[in-house]
Amino acid sequence: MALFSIEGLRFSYTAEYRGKKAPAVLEIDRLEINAGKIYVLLGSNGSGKTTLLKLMNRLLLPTKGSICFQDEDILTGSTLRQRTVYVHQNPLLFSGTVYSNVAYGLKLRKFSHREVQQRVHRTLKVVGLQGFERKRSSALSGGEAQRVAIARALAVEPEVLLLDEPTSSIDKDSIGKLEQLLAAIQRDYGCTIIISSHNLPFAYRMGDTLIKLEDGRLVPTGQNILKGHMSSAKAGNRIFQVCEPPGGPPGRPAIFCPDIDGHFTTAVIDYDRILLSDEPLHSSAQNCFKGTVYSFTAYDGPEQSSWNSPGLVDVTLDVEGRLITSRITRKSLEELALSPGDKVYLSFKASSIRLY
Amino acid sequence: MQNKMDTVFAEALSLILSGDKELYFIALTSLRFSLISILIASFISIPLGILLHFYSFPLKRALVSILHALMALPTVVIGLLVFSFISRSGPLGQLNLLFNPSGIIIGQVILASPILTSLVYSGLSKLDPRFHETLITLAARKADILRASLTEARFVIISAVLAGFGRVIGEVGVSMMLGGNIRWYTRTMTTTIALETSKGNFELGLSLGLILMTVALLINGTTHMLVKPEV
Repeated sequence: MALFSIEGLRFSYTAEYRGKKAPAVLEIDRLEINAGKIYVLLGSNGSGKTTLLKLMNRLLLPTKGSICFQDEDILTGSTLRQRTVYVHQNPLLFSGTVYSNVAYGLKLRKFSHREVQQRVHRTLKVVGLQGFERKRSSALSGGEAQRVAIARALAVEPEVLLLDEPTSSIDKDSIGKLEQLLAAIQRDYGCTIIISSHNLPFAYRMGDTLIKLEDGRLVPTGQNILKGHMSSAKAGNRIFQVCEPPGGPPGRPAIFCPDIDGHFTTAVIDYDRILLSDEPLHSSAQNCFKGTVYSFTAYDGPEQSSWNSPGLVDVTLDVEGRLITSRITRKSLEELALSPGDKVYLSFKASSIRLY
Repeated sequence: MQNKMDTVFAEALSLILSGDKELYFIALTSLRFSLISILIASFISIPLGILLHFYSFPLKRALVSILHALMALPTVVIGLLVFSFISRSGPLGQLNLLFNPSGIIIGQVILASPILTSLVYSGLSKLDPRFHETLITLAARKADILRASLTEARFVIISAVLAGFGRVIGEVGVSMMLGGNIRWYTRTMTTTIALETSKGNFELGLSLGLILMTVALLINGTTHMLVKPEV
């Protein structure tokens, strides 16, 4: 069962604009969010990320369509409010102390004084702000205020945490701390985290699944995002070992990647950087794997229709148990005569991999 | 001339320091009327300002505009309006409200209410829009939102009450027209200043003026102190 399931969603801020039906700022045919993962909504400013998060938390109401949370329409159901918390881009703290802020949601839920105390202390410890209980909220830095806002949301132990642009108002060091914090939250609380961001490195590192929005519409990310870690360099080549789940035992495939130092956890390969061939290629591409065709998805993005070019096809292949997608033209697909279950070779250069 | 002013000022101070009975009676009468008026106005206007902020209804904007306009209503116009209702020939003439403290209080409540309502409404409207969303997302119900909004806007509400009090204690039109400036009964600081100055009795007027100024400064100072944490 999907945690969130969105069908035929349409949202516009006003009903009419200059006598006509107002254009939709968000239009999503179908989207499903599953439990226990970190989702990152990617997109530029005005792409509809915040609107979608607010709709998912019923802070905005859909103009059309439905959003179900645990199979219950959020407009009529009552579970959403108790189980999801939204944290603003620049979170607002109530006047008073850090303690009173973090305790607010717990007091609303009528927790006992002792339990409120315990939960506040525990949550502040998780966000690395133990000892801040008596500090005035107005005396906190931007990064601290954000962590208090996350602690306030986390204290009620929600099933879903919706974070709007958490990296927008903090410095680079704080982004690193935030990444550690979010990983700890998912590990310790097991909640689903949905983050909106236009910070690509952050999104790649944090997201189990990336959802890309452009002008209020869902578009494919066009990228294979593989989680894993760097293994020792062999003969001048660095290898990225794909692992599922992230941080788990070394898995396959092992990918040759650029010779860069660092503890990278994510490798990104654009779909259109992967070549398909029916024979292994003898070329400068260091990575060549044999895979099995898993599925085809037609890609008719806005750029294709505007150039009036034939559509592209995303071919997903099973490579040693991992799904990797290549974007090819329809003509190439016809020439290769691929169908599901066929064996095919995929090749890509080490230099086409971006590490995060 | 300078010498005469010095003498008047010295006599005014001496009136204050000597504990002149009439002077203090007038000052206390003013404070009493103003406090009662502002208390009644607060009971009416604070809930009204909250209702205006939290609920939408037809002609809400028009009502807010009228309230803003009423903030500048001249006190003599209020005095005239209330006079027409409570004078012997008016619809409330039987209640004998004219030229007694009740008449002044009614006028002052009418004077203070639009100020308080407008300032409470504006204060709540200035709360960050994220404030409501944060409360809602944390599962606050309507009563919780109301309570939290009032707590968050408490300084603005208190300063609105103080602003209303300042307006009421310094008004002369209502007190003069509805109270009649009756000695040891409805005579207030402002009506006394007007009367005594016209009679050339500057000492009493000046001493009351000094008390009035002190009260005004105290109100301003308190308002400033209260609003400061919000800035």
